[in-house]
Amino acid sequence: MKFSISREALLRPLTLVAGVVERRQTLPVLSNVLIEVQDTQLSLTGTDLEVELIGRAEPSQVDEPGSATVPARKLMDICKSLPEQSEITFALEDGRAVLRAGRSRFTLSTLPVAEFPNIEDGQGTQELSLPRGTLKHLIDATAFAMAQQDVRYYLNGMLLELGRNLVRTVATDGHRLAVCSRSADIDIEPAQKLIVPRKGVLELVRLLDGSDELVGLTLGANHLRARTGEFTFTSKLVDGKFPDYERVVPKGGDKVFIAERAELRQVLSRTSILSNEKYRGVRLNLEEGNLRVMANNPEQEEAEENVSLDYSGDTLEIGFNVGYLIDVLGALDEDRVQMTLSDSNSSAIMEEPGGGDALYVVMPMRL
Amino acid sequence: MDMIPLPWQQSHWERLTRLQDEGQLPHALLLSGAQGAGTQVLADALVARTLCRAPTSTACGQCHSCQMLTAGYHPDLLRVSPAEKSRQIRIDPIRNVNAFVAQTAQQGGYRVIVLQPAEAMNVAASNALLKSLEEPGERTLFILLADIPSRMLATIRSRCQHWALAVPAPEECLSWLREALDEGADAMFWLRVAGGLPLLARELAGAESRVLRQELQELFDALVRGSEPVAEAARLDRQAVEGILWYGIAWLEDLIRLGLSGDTTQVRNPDLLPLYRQAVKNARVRDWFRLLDYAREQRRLLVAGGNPNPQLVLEAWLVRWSALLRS
Repeated sequence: MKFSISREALLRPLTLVAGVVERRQTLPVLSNVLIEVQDTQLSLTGTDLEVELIGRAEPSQVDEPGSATVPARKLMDICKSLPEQSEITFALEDGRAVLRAGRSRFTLSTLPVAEFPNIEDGQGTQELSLPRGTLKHLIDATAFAMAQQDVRYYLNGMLLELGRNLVRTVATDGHRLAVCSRSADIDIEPAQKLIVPRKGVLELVRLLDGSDELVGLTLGANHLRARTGEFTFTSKLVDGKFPDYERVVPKGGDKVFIAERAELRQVLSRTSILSNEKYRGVRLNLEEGNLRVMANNPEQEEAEENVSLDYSGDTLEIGFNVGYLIDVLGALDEDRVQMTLSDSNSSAIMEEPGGGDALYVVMPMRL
Repeated sequence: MDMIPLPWQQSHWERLTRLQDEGQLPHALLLSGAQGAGTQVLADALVARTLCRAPTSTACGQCHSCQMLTAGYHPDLLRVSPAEKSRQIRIDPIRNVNAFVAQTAQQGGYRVIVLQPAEAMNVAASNALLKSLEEPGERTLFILLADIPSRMLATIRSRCQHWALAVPAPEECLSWLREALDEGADAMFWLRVAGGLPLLARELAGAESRVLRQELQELFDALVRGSEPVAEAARLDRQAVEGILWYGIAWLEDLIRLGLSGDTTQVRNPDLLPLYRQAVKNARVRDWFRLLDYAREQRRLLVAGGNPNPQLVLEAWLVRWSALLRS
């Protein structure tokens, strides 16, 4: 294998791919990146066995196609520290990779390509494409609610539901739930539901920009694969059944108020300072035209805030984990937020006034 | 890693592969058999064939999966064994198993979990495994290897299909053993010493084990002549306490066989007959049984994760022997 490429062309995909490769690897080959060169295309593959990322670049010259695996982080550090606009020549000599740039020369160890656990193509059952912005919005709106290392392993990820003209993401950790759906130009019958693991979701969203360009998705029994021009991202799936989230959304809430989102968020953040550090409970007192937010901690310190809002109805006192409320207010992007409550033991719905594409359910806590 | 089963496992292998090809293979297999019968080889061959992309009667050895396995690692294979210096499988590795089966296979095929030895799981670990073992997702295969399955919790055993591998017939494994041994070694003799277990025979015929056996043989001769057992115990390698107990138990069993029947063809170590004859004269069968019970208890303690002082075990063991050899 022999090719040359400009530093900038190599560095961009290499940084992305090396980000997937974990530093502490039990298996040596996993700290390597797989380099494959064909006629006019260079691809770099990194994996941590849960997610795989293939980055592509265009070499300026290919003398001999081939493949090799070299230590990812070292290769990246070398490329980063070379002067800008350097032309890097990469060659495989006697089982070692030799990098030349200007008057520098680096020799890197390699490991057999056959040992590299890359995922082969052609295991997908269904193909579709979505605007990148749509997918990014769906993930951003719900990702915060994913569980982390929960024993209910199916919660440690995000449900991706694809149906006729509809994409939906759902995440929950058992205390709060986030659902976001958007229409899209797809037609999948019967609707597909897959759970993407937490790590896969967080890595995928890093690769998406808000543009209207398309990202191609391949749904398989074992993998979700996302493809754009420069990268191919593959994640394993969670092998389980996601809970029936529709039953969690409370019906018949009669106490509806609308508040300024930014103001409410600031009020809650301030109050949270004096809430119990472990349980983070705050008490919400809803009265006509006013919401009183109160918190106290074991040291008997107290915070009280009042927000005026648009509400006329019965009074209600209800407790919440303030972190959950702040998360939701941070995820919404409308200026105002609508909250629907029924009683102090029922969960609350938060959404854009009149209902937007995202819906959040937060369970109350007993104070 | 072995990809081909041993010659005497052919009938088991054919049944396993037929079940696999028909999609009838259970999701949890418990393979049991005495150590040295080659259960591990059978398990490895099955693992390789399960993960292989283009399996024939065995794994192909050529595809990406087989190459990764040959290199020593496969992303969809999880092996669980006791941590170094420990004889138990604790709960943490079992939690890893649960996380492993919660996600789909990286290569898109089967996920295989090999627990060896399965009876090394402690109670907490066993209980943590139950849920995954009972109902894993699709295309998951648990292989539990156990020497003595009765040591496992009944709840674990009942979740597995149990395949017991018997001691193979000598004619089935002699040709294999002849090839495995060095030139000039007497395969029949070593197979007899190993009680018919070919892999154990190969190990016993190895240079290191031969030295230990020779050493012990001399030691016992010395005991018969009346030497001091504590002094003799000090000369033994403390690391080999399990091997020493194993030889002692095998010889005791021989002694009892000989003492009860007088039939020398049933004796596994024919070269030790002079020692046996001397010993049989000196003590009653009941005493030998008592010593056997003691030795087995010691071995059980060792296997169960107890941490006895090896020097003390050896001394106590040899003192008892010498008392019987001289009485």
